[in-house]
Amino acid sequence: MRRQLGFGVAALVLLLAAGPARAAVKTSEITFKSGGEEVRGFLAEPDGKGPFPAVVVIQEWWGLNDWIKENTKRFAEQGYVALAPDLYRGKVTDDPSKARELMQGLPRDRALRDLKGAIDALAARANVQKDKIGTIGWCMGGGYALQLALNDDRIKACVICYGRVVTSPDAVKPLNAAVLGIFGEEDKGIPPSDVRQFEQALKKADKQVEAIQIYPGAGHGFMRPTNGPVKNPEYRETQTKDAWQRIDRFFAKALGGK
Amino acid sequence: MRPVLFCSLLLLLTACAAKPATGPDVVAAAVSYRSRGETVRGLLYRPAGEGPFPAVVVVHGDYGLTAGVKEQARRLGAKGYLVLAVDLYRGQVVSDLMDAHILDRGLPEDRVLADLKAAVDYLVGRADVRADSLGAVGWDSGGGHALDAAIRDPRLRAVVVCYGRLTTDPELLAPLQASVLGIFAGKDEGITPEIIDQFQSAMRRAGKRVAGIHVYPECGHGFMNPATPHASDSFAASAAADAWEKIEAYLAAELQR
Repeated sequence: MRRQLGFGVAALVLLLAAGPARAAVKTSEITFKSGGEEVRGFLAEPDGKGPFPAVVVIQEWWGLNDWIKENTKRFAEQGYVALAPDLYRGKVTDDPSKARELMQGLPRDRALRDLKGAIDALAARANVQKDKIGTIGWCMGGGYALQLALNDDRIKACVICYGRVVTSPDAVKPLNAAVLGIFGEEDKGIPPSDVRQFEQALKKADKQVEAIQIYPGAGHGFMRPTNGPVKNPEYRETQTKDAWQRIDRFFAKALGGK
Repeated sequence: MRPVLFCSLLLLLTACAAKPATGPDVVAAAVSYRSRGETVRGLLYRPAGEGPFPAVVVVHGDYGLTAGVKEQARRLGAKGYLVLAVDLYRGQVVSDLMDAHILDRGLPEDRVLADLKAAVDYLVGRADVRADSLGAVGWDSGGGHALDAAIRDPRLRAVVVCYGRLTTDPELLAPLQASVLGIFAGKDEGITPEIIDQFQSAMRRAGKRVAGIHVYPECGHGFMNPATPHASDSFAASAAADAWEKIEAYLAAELQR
């Protein structure tokens, strides 16, 4: 009896968490060109003809895992055609020592080529508005989101979630995108002093900055609820909720989603 | 009795490790120099004698300037190179894999490149350095940084990448003035044979010289590090010894001419 009640409550909670009736979304695995290679990506599209704005979603050091796919679907529910390229070419892990090797071995130029290929693939789709393409990434992918925006002027909006920043005004010069930064105050690898240097560099170079948000009580990786099958001890629910609101507002403003 | 014997043996081993039987004495000293408006620190390993010496920049990996990296730097010093081991983490050294990840993933690339250029400036400015005989050696993420530095700094004439990130685009490799020696682990999840092939063909197309690519099939990432920071990096003594022979022969050919 109690157990059933428990299940009932859990189901209700799940329903509530799912929020107001989710928009229909179509997901598929696609391949696209990156230089002379074919790479794969996870595509999520809103229902309807569009054309829709689009987002390139960039993986963490774990690879193109379920959480990244969920986030990709989430953007489609909000009216974006979202594409998450598989930078590791089929490899995905929840083992940190493997993730370490995968991240350290990934040639940066190949990753950037894949990401530009993802923009080409999006821009070529009939249901995409070519001039409304943004990018977002977390952890390793946060650094790549910024690098993509620095290296490809088709990116109009860029969200960096606790990813590697650049610290000199010269380095941000080529940027053609508006920027939202999401960082944790307790992140030892990207301390607030580095984040502020990044913000100063953007402002000095006269770039469009939505906000550079440093969340107290949060460290690295705070937006991801789980690590593979287990809970992520770094997850911070309140800060994450606020971060998602800011991300949604920013993309809606810069790209015109819902 | 037995513990005493064991201890003495250990002491003897430690003494041997600290002071190689061959090669000149090496004096280690902390040095500081300017990098883009900041004062940064490194460790200098100087061979005995007046010089001028060929010089090598040693670039640490994701754990920082660890005891293991210092040992590698000293080893090169004993072979007659004036070695500057940079500290890209500004004093932070970690022993936990997640901490290493947090630092590595956060390190700004423009700062890394500025630090490595400043390291070369520092070496070139020393009277006991042969400015035309400069190289860089890096392990893990430091291997990738060493190659990136050489792409941007024509003063570097030799680069050793030990299981570090490679570049696959010939256009990006065009400014490289150094030859490259690559040391890789067959069981590395990240640096696959395809990536190594892509690198080699990009070097060929860019007209650059790969002095050698050595893949140790039975080894995992980090196999040269005797002070294994974590379980997945397993030190492989004989492969490491072979890799060192290759590295020393390469550096001697490139920098001690």
